[in-house]
Amino acid sequence: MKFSAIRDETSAPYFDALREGRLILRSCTRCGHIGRPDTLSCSSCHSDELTWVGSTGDGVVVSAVVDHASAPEPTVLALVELREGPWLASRILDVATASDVPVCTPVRLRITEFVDGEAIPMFVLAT
Amino acid sequence: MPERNATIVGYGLTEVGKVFGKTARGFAAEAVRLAVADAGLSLGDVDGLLVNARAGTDLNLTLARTLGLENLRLLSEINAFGASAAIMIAQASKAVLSGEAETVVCVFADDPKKQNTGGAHAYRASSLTATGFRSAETAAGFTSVNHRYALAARRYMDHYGLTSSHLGAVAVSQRAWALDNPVAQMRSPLTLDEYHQSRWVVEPLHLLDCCLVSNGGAAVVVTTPERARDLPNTPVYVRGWGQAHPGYVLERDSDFGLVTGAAISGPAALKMAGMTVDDIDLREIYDCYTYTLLVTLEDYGFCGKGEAAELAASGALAPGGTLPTNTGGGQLSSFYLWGMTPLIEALTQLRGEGGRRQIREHATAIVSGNGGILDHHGTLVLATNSA
Repeated sequence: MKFSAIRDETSAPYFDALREGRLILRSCTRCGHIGRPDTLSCSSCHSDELTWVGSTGDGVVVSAVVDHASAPEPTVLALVELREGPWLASRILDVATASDVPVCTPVRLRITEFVDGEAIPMFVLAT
Repeated sequence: MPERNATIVGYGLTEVGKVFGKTARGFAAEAVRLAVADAGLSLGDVDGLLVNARAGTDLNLTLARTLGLENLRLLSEINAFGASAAIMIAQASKAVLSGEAETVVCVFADDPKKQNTGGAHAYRASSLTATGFRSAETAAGFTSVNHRYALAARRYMDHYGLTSSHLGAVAVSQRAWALDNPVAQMRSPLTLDEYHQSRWVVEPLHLLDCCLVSNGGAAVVVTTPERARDLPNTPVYVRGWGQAHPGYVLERDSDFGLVTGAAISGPAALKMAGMTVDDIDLREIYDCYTYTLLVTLEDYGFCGKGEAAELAASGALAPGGTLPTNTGGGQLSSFYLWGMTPLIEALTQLRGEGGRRQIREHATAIVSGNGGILDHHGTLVLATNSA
């Protein structure tokens, strides 16, 4: 089964940026810490004064798993640590096995568009 | 350390597994009646009720009306998912020790299995209705808790150099316990080869790394130590409790998958009980996945980090082993009623009612609960001797 990304008020700027080809993260205006896009309270200083900042889209694999039940073929899902620090839970495209993506494998962003729903960040091997 | 210990005087467990014809509310009502009768009490003696329910079921605090309970002095729903049972017992203990209430029943029931369908769909619903940021993860393929626990397990396995065989040792060990548990859903012997042959759910998790899905209900009666003296069962004293909610931030340097709330909650509960891990006869550990058992045993301090897999492989956790663990088969092989699974088995063993699987030394037990994706942890230390 396929499921769509659906925006809400809080996530609208995030999905707008993805549609324009950019991955954006939350940056604390008080301490400068860069957090995940869904951050509402800075994980370093608890400030709620956050602004959007662009990501390089470069990252490394923290943990990768394989969904063998997904159709039409198995998908590799992973936690990716972006160069800026946040982890995203997403898919690694163009690989088929866990051994393709051991810990620390470099990956880079590939924003993927869908007919239904919002564009979302996925990753490919950085070569 | 409390001078008096709240006391568990009864428990009730309905038929569990593929049981149809009742909703969660019906199972809960039956479990409460069973527990109160087991305690040698009547429903009129109950003055407190704590209810834990899965969202989407028909169970909530109006269970009190279903049971015709009047003039309750304590009534609430409690929800920290798999940690709820331990937290309910702790709340009930505080209530009876303070005098807020005297006899408190804690109950959980669920009905995820429907006739002619599997049960796992009930646990996917919350992911699939996600909107906003989380829906981006669902669209990428994170459609169930299995995917997220697989991430945790993979990280843990990579960090400590573990293989599927280490996880499989847990499944095999617990199945051996289930063979002698008449209520267990899985009572045929299991070999490591059969474990490896079971299908992938989300690699590195095989089907036999994942807990069962069960319909049914369980309830526990907590009262004062004074009241317990007049009641028929071996009293089980609530010697210690703890909670921990790590609030993982998924970013660089996160402990996600490697260290859980058990590392805070377990030592806190043992300290309250005036015990160490060496004083514990029985380990009844929340085992939604084989991995969860390993990381919890380590975080509690029964072995060093990364060493629980070797304990499992050595047979130490199995029948006849030096560290009897999940002695009824656990959620992997017995039944899955959130935190009630380990709690009910602890009470069964502490009271010496384990039949062929009864442990000889059964004076003390540690019970764990784990909720969310390792987001919530609850611990109980129980004993047949009071402080």
